Amino acid sequence: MQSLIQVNNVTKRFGKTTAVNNVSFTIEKGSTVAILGPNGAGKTTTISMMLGLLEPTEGRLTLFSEDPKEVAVRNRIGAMLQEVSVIDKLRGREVLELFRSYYTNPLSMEELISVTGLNDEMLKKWANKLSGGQKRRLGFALALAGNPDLLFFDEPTVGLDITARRNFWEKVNMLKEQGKTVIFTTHYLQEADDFSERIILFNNGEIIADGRQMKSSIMLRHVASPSDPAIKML
Amino acid sequence: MNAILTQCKFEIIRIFRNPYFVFWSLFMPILFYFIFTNIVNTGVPDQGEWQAYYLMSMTTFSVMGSAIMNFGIRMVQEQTEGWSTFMKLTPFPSWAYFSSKMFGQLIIHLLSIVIVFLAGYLINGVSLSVSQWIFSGIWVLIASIPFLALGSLVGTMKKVETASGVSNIIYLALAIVGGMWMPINTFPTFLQNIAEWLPSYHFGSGAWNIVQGTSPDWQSYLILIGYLIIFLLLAVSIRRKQEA
Repeated sequence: MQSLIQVNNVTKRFGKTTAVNNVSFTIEKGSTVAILGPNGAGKTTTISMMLGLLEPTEGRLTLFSEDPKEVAVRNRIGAMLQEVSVIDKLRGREVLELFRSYYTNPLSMEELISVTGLNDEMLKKWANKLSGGQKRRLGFALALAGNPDLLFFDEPTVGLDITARRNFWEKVNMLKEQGKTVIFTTHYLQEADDFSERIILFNNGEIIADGRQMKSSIMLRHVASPSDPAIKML
Repeated sequence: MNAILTQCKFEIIRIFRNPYFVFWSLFMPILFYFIFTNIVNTGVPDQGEWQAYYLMSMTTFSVMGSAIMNFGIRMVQEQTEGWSTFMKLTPFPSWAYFSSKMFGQLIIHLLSIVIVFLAGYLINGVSLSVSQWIFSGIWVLIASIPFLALGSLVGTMKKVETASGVSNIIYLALAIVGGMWMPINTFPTFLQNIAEWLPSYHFGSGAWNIVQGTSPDWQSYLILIGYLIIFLLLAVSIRRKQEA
């Protein structure tokens, strides 16, 4: 299988704190990977480096064999980040139209609306006045706007109710069937178990387990010392 | 190219939907214009000349406001709310994003000029030669660029509250001391001396000269270009430091 992402001995330090410590892994095309770990484990930092938003202090990292900041790479990825508010004074539909214009081969507006389940009301509303769940749905649509091959979701379901959460994962399954590569972070064991075929477990900035077709609870039993308070929180 | 046009279009739409813009950059200058040319008796002997002069004052006042405030504060807002970060994930390069914003803002300046000029014509029947209308309009449009650079300097601030507070003070101080509200020959000498070093005075002065039948002084060009370079260098170096 072709590897889409290569992370080689990557370390990220912020001043004296080491957020990610000498991490290496590869991710194959078409796979669904959960990055699991307690808060502060280095999940978001790792995702941010894969997205080219942060520069690794040491090591090298490529997407589609290129630097993550290359325009060609940007054209093929989509992401949902934590804590992004939407641009103001534009309506939902206008934000989508704006976003689609950035990409070479965007999804058509109709497809985008039907895939993400945005309704007329949300499309007409001011984008920054949408409710939390609606904003997330718009964020999902923005991630898909460029019809990407590779998708990143950073804590995509935090704050969503059960129905919205189920809805979200149904869509992700659909993307998976289309052959897209999906990487998400979560601290819910259940989500990692149910929706990924591979789990990369982070703790204290390091990968402590990397398992395929394995339940997270079994992984945890093997690797973590039961006394580790961070792992206990999971 | 399509992306740049779409971005410009939406930037313009966003500015017009901003009530602060409509109030501060269109309503206020036109109201001031009406008051100081019709209600308050300024005692100026040549009313026609005063009406044309003050129309230029208010046009530059309007354009300077949206350049410093709109442009700068919006940049800070997008930075703090994470939108700028999110933009970095798209294939739309940041230079294109910045240029589209800048270009959109210039179109807004052009529209403001047309609207305020039209108000002057409708309120007082200001009559200028065709070339005076055109050249004063072009002057205001081009000479607004240093203020956009000042706006981008405001845009490097960390908080929206600081940015809007600071830019309000700068804007009003520049407008008043630069003679946009009252001609500087009504000021005490020391204030007149200060005014002659301000970009706002030279911004207005170029347009005043044009409607009085002359052309902008070379000092005006020099000072405005000087400020443009200073503001740009400052904005770029602050941005570099922040990204390092």
